[in-house]
Amino acid sequence: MGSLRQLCSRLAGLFRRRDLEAEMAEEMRQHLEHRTQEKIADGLSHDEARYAAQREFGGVAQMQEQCRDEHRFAWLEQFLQDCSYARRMYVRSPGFTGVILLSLALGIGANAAIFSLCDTVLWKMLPVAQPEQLVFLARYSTKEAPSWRKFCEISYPLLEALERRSPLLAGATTFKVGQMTVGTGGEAESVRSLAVAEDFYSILGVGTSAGRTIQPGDLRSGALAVLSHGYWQRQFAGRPVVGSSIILNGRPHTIIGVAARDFFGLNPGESFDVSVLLPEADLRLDLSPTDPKAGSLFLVVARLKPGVARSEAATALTSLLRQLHREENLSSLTPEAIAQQRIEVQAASGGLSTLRAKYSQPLLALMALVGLVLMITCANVANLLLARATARSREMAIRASLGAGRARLIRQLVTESLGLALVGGLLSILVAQWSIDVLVRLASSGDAPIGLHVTLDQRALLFTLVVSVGTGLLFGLAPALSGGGAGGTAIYGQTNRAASTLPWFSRCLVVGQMALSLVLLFAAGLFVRSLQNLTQLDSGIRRDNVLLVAVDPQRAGMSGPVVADFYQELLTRIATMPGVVAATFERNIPLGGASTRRPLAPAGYLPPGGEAAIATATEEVGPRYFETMGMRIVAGRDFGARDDRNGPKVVVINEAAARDFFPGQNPLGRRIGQSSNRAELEIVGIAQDARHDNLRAPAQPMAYLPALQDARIRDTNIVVRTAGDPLALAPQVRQVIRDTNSRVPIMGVTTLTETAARALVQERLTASLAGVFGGLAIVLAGVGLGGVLLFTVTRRTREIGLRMALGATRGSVVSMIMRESLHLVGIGLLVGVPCAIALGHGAEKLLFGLTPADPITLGLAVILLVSVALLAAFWPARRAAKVDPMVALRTE
Amino acid sequence: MSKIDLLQGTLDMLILRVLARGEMHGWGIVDRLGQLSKNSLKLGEGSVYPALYRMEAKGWIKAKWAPSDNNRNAKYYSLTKAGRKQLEAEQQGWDQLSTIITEIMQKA
Repeated sequence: MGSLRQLCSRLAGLFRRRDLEAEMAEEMRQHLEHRTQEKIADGLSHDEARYAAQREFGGVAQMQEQCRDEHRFAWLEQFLQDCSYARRMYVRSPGFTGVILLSLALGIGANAAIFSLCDTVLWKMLPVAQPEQLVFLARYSTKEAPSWRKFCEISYPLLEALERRSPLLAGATTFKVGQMTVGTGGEAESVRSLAVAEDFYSILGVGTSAGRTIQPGDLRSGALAVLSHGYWQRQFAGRPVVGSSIILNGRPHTIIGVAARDFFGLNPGESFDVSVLLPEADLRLDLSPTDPKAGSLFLVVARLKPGVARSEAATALTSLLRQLHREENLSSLTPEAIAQQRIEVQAASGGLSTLRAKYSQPLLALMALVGLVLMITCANVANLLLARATARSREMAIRASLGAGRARLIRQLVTESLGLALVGGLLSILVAQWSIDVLVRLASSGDAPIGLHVTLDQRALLFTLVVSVGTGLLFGLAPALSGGGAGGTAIYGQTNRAASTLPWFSRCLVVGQMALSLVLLFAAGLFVRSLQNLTQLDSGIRRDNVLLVAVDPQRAGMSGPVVADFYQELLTRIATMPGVVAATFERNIPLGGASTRRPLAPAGYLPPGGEAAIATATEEVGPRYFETMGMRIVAGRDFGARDDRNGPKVVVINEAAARDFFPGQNPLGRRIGQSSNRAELEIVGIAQDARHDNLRAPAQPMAYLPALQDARIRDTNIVVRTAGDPLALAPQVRQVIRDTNSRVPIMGVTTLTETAARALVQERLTASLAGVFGGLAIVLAGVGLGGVLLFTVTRRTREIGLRMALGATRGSVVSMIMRESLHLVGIGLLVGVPCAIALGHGAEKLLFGLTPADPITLGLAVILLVSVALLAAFWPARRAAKVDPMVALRTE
Repeated sequence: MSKIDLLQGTLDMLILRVLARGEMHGWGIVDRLGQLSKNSLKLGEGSVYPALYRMEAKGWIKAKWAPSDNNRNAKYYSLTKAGRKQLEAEQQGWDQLSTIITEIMQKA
């Protein structure tokens, strides 16, 4: 109890400082008074008594100082004192403080944001139970390395057999992503679906936000649906939905629950909306594991038992597969082919990510760039603190001579630097949060909202905070560490003379900043120009003013000839609409990301990989396709209305295919087909090469088939070339479709320019971010250079005054400063240009239409850098010119 | 006899001992110490105060302002319970130390 009271009284003492001071003074005064009286009583005069008493006492001020130090919370008091001093000092120089805070906030914030983005897209693990045990299984039948294919070549019966008979698997399941229509009729909306096997959710270990997920045994429970959290919030605003009904693909489903908040499926960056069961009919449970009629699943996910290595599982499953074939081989595979089959086991902890594949390179490139920005930031902070430190060397010397120990000085400087760094850190959190929002919006521009849920990564923030605090501490402490205490002179020289030129490493920092800025500017220039090249590229297809409307008559229950008639009638109606130049349809839109291949070839054609390697890209199109697309027919004709199911089967190939199949000959009239009938299709036209699927690669051989001749004609995209703005015509086109058949759902409306933009989203993201960072870098570097030059001018005021007094003109002073600036920039360029070229080589794969050392971009970057440097030197130069020689010579 | 310099740290113990007798103000303590040592201890008058403040911070003594002989308020120090314990401990330690040192000096 007593100690608590003591503690309280001591804390209270903090606030009663003035009273305590008065008490202490009074106490000692009384002591002296008493002694003085004694001595007077002994016979001395008043003054003599007083002096004697004081002599015997010792130095009053010193005693008081010592007493103060004994005070328990002396360190806290001193800390508050330092804080208050630091605050006053920073407020008095807002420019200096502002620049440091800005540098820290931007540098730390940008880094944290990019790191968080990378983490979510590239590295984060799936929000399921023990994701490190999850693997993807796929079957390969040749010795080639695993590559991305559309199906895993494992059927459901095979999956069951593997799961049942392998002791290394804790479970195996499957799923399929796709699209479904919610609601009915023309107002139907398209949503992303996740069709799963019964045991999908239980094997993965997914939580719920409401209700339950699909469980084993649900195949018997009728049509069920599970919503994703995001879809639940968007569509139903979080209202209770469990038990209510939702119409998917025309069938009512009962909503049994909502998935956990952070579960987005197995595809990071792309969340599903609704989840249903894979139809039992698709699973073909009646067939045996080796029967190829059972088809192939999209993807198989399995959970390994704890402690099982992936390679171990691969070997075991492969031998199990061969065992199954030995027991009952219903496939047409020969024993040699069976021996070459194997099961590949790939880590699934991060999920399957098309986003990852798309963005991993540019994101990593960006991380490198943003790391450079951080370095520039630290250099800036370091430089400014160093400049400040030299200005304060005198202050430190005075403090030391007044009795401050080294420890006390260091404590003061640490408090100041830490305070600044912490405020900068707080600001950087705001910057990081805002940047993430901007980045996600940039990445999802054009697409439907990506389910990208990027949270500010704590580790990133902590790391960058540590780096900046470290820099701040290191350079803030410089004056004290270099022997400012105990009478030593600071490394930055004494007060007047030696500190007029910058210490060598301060100049190094500025040069480094210049070099890094050049590299960033060059990178930004490269990416921006690549993007420009891509957007302006003539892909062979005229992209402007084309409306695309996706329809799927199959969802209305139509099939076969009915669909073909529907399309023909639709085209007739649309073609007569005012404002329409031409109309056709196409299954896979250009740059839409989807493509089909068929083993079409002429008889006798044998590519290097053998007959099995024949895989020609094909497109199913409607009449007047090439006219609508703006593609040239080099020889022969376009498709017309007579190319329907009653007419002879025809095909149009492009120039690349013509060169490939019939080098040096005229392909018109020749025939190509699949291996069953190589004379099936007659070539009636040669089309100009067009970059249909990929803007970056030159056109690949393509065969265009008239969709109306296909008995199994399926969904398609209506393509309408309009005279004016295509979207303006969209409502009328919708109306025409509804009038023709009101049950056919419209899956989406877009334009060709939009599709092209979406295809370039990766490049646009890279270019915009590189541009932002380049701009940031140059601003920071310019500010750094300006600050350092300003410091030089202030320190050299005397020298400048002297020069002017001796006859130098203002102009020569200004040019002196400018020359110093250019000198620094010049060295920066010498260092920076090779680094920039090296970066260009490193990023070669991301560029388009540019060499890695593109001279125009390099030249532009250099010019920009030099201009900024001159601009940065402007203010200090003006300061120098305004120096009044008389005033300057008189001041320190 | 020339004044002997005080060993560091023993000043605390001496002050505690003086205060064990009863409460006292700063210069009273100095007087008492002088008396007891017959003025052979070299003690700067003011140097008692840092020690007093230190011991007060440690909780061995407590202070209060009370009217003194000339009717003005003076700061009186007194021993706390913790101070008494500290005094005992230091006394023991000192006795042991002085015994050991004396022994060595005699035996060597």
